[in-house]
Amino acid sequence: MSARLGRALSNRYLIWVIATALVCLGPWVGLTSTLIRLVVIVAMVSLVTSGLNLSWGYGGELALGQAAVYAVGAYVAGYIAKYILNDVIVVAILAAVAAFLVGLITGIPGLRLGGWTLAMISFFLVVLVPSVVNLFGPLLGGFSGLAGIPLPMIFGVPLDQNGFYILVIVVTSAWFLVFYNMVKGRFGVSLLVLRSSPTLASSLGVWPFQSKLTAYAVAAIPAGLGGMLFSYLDGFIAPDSFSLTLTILILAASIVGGPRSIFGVFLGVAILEIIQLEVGAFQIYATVAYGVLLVVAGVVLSDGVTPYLSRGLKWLVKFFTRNRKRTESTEITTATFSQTAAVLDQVPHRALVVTSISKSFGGNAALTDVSLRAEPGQITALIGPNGSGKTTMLNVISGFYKADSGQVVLGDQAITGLAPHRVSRAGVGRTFQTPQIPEYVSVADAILSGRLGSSSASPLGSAFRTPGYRRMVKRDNERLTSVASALGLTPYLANDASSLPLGTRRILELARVLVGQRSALLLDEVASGLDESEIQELLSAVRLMRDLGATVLLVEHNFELVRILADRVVVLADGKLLAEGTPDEIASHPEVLASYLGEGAGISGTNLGAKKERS
Amino acid sequence: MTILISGLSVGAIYALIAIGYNITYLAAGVINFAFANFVMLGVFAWLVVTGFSLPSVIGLVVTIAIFAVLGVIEERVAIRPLPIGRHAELITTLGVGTVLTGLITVIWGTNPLPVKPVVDGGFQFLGAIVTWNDVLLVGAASVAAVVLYFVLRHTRLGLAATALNQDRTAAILRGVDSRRIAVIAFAFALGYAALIAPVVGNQTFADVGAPLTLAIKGFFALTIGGIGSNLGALVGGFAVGIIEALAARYVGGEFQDLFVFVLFLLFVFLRPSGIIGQRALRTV
Repeated sequence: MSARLGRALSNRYLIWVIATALVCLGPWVGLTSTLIRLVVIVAMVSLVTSGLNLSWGYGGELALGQAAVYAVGAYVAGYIAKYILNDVIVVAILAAVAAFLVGLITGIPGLRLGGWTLAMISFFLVVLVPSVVNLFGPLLGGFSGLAGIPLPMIFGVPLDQNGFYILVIVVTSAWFLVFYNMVKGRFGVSLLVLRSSPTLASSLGVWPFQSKLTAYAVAAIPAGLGGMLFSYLDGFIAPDSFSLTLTILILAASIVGGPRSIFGVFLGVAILEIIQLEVGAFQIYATVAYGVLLVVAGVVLSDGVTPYLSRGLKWLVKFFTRNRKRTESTEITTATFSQTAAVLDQVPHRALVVTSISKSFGGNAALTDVSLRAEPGQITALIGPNGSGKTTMLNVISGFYKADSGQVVLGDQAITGLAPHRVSRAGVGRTFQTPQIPEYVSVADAILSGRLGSSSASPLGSAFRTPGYRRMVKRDNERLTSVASALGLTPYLANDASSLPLGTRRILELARVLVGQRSALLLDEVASGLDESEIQELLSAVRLMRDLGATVLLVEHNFELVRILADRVVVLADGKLLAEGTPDEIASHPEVLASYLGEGAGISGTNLGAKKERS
Repeated sequence: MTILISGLSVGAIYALIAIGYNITYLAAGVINFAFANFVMLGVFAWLVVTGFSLPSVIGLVVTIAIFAVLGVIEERVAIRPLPIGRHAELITTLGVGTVLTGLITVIWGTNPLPVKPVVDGGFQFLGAIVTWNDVLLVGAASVAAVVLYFVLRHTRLGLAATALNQDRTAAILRGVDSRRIAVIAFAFALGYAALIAPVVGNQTFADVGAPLTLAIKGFFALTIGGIGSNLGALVGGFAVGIIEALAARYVGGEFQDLFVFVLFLLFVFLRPSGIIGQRALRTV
């Protein structure tokens, strides 16, 4: 019985329906009309604020135009309901579409520059509201406002005050479910990865501009819906309802609730709306208070008050369930690499062929006419002294640098000069010299981000959890479980990825590359900073990549490691190809010894040398 | 001609604001969104100062000193604690601006008050009336741009700021004291805000509602000229002012903002690095 109850409670859709129904009961359990109005306003402003959280908290771009989009929603809804067709469903859809379009149009130029330009452009939208409204003349009522918006009707049935209340709660609840699914799903992860590092995101196949624009335009939808509801609230809207004060209020609410929070939005908005009600007589000081709040919260509370609350809640839950926890089995299974190999697919075998690449930076030649070839199912090591062009080569292949001349071909596809995200989607995965670990993302999601380019991260899939999306998640989770346990990451899966120490970060990058299942893998000094047991995991992981048919290109300084691992070695010096051959040939190559390895290289050894027999 | 004069005169204000942004941008890497609000606070301060019987110059000097201190405080409170490179100053300086808006409203209310010109009168020029204040505005913007241009290239402080702007880490490793420079820049920028306030105020009135559009159009001027370039800010300011005056004359006063906005969007789309700037397009 309690097990069934527990299962039911873990179904968030059921909880959602129950919570929504409970809030809908408001008018019938004795809430006063003042309170009902407060709840309605909090719901509307929360809709708008959730949009800010999506584009800013997750997308990382601060746009201040929510009040303007709110106005667009309100005017579109008001006009249509008054003059054309008063049906909530039609009106809501049109208001949402109009808001989305405004987001799209203003996002394109603003996002190109980002930062301040986007903030200013979107801020100016708010300033423009009155003159744009006036542009339509008497149609929208000009500066004095649009009056006489009828009460909402649904399928021809008019809604009374209580009906309108339920409408507001249902619309808000529905959007927050969509919002929750989006940010907790793949789409949200792709945004957080992008927010932390555009470089990383594009190397995973995410097109930064498209993702940011999508987030920004989708974020306009709740603002449009909020505006739609607002126009029905009093049946009257005027340009000065959508002022600077509203913009500041929304921003402050987002900061107080936490820019990456979901339900914290309600908390933030409620706090600010109540402040506004309470200081009513001192309205004049509210602006000062909001300003102070922005400064203080901007400096002190980077995540708002919500994390403190949820930490408290978690502690409470732990406190009450600590006795039960003990009886649960805590058996951790460790998959072996051979088991993992069974879960992962063979990747398409494609050779990586680099033909006479040259690249110089302002007259400094970093690469001069370098050609190399890496075969599928083999590990090709790229070695050379510092500054010999190894990382430059990786950056040219993965599209971060444009070569001055030369060609890069993967299988039968030329990838020269493609943008990084397209190179990634073409089948090139990579790690970074300094591991790139996104912030605010769990270890599990950070590993899974390796599949962002190959699996759909569209907001629609995430929002509505389509069958295709669910299948993809299921398949990806199998890969994740297996890869994580083979690499010893299972105990950390729920941790915050950015809290990991260096060695584990490198292992995480390997896991991310493994899960990604790209044809060609570029590994940039993956062994540095690893301890002995991590090195063993690294060796197994790289061999697994090879066995899956990947074309592995390994940049490495530790020649012992190269000797154990590599099938072929390419040596660069001063941006030129110095030598090429098997590890043993290179170890005795006179020029390589002279310029890089030193005389003792052939026999010198770390303790890795003992395991020289090749697997 | 009248259009040109009014365009230049309004444009000079945008240029002055843009230059104010540039001072902190170049030295501390942050744009102070509250700058226009500080200018407006300076205008109200000027009203107070001219109300006393002592010479206005002394009052102005005292105001400048007080504003410099405010600059130090703003840097300490709203800039220094922030992580670098997250644009967190967008929020905190907007907060400072909001506080100023609130304070001005509390003290002086929301009705615009007229500000007497520093130099009365004007003259006829090719059929247009030019006030001395117009001349002062254009002169002030030009002088500010030129002075800053030389400060950045020929003084130790300016060179240090330029170095910080180009490569922060390298400059700090070379011994440039980035914090000292940031504090000096904020003090300097706000002192400058107080200095230009009397001339600006004659055109804008002492109006708590004015800074918002000034802040945004000053930023447009900055972007059009190229962020970081003072001569660009001058050109950008005049460009925005003249376009606005033309729009007001030929399209109608209520559409001038819309017109400026659309042109600005087009400009950003076509030439994101500005007329003079060399800033690389973000690899978004």
